[in-house]
Amino acid sequence: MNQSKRLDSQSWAPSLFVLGLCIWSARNLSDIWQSDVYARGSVWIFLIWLIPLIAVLTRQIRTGRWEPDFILLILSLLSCLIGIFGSLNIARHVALGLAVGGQVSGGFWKWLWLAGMLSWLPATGWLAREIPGNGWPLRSGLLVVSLAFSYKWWKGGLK
Amino acid sequence: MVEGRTQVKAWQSRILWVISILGILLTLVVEFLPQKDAVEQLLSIPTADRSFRSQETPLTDQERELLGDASAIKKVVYPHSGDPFLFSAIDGSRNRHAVHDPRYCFVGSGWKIMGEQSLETRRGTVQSLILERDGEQRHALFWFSTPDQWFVSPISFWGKATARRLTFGLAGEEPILLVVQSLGDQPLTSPATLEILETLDPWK
Repeated sequence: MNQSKRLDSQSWAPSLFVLGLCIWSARNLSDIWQSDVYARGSVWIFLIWLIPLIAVLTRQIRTGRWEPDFILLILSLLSCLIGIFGSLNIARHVALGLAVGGQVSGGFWKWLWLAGMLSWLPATGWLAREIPGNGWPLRSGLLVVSLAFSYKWWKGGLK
Repeated sequence: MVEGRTQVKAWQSRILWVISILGILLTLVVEFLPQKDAVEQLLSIPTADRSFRSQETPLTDQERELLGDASAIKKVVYPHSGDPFLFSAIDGSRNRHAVHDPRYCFVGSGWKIMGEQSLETRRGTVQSLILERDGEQRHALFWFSTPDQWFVSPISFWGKATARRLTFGLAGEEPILLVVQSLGDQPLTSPATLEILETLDPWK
């Protein structure tokens, strides 16, 4: 029991550390969401996108099956380091999304939910700038599809 | 079985710690290493030639704030035959985020992009924009300049600037963003104007 607890903390401490590092690295997101004409208001999409993760995280904690996804955490670290060394915002923002997703375990459907980060990434707004509505219909559509996949993720975790 | 899983977890945890700590140390080293910039190139831009003269214009407080540590010059260029225009050059070596798609700035300051097209020149490609705000029309050009070529894709700029940083300068020079704006509604695409712009190229 004690051994198990000790190993659990060994797993969780670095995953939270990676999340903190990625939040620090992507700290310009709040400014971008406020000032960037192609990304303004995407903070709301980000918050809605987080809801399934919070739901799964809460359930995993309640059932004692809280387990980080190390593949995602490694990917988020690599992306974060590319973002810091290369001074590349998109890599920093993707790193944040991966680090957030890496806080909980999950399979195929979680990856599809994760792809929904395209709905809040500032780069999406820039790429979709030619689409009428400043890319908002595209962002909203991506969010809805992502939430639909997250339902399958949630249901899969009940088995 | 369970022990096997936890052993892998502990191993993975160690990997995460090692990469995180190495990453932080490398970040600190990179932060304190002096970065090579292109200030000399900006300063070498000619102020006059047989076809034009120019006058440097001070940056506004807002521009200084946006540029941060990046270097920039702004000047009004007076062609001997033709209308004056505003010429800006930004070197983002010390602050990569100061250099971004100029369409952001135009749209952000209330201009509407009514049309745009790519133009081929002897040095490479430039992007021509037609802007409109409050019934006024202006023309603008922008491109990224390297010793090898001119190009207009911000994605290529990100790629080159990132590769340069990740290889500590071995992947090439930092592209310099050049932006030209008309002061009236005259087009900027005449051969005479493009020839002046070639003379103003910091990497020439």
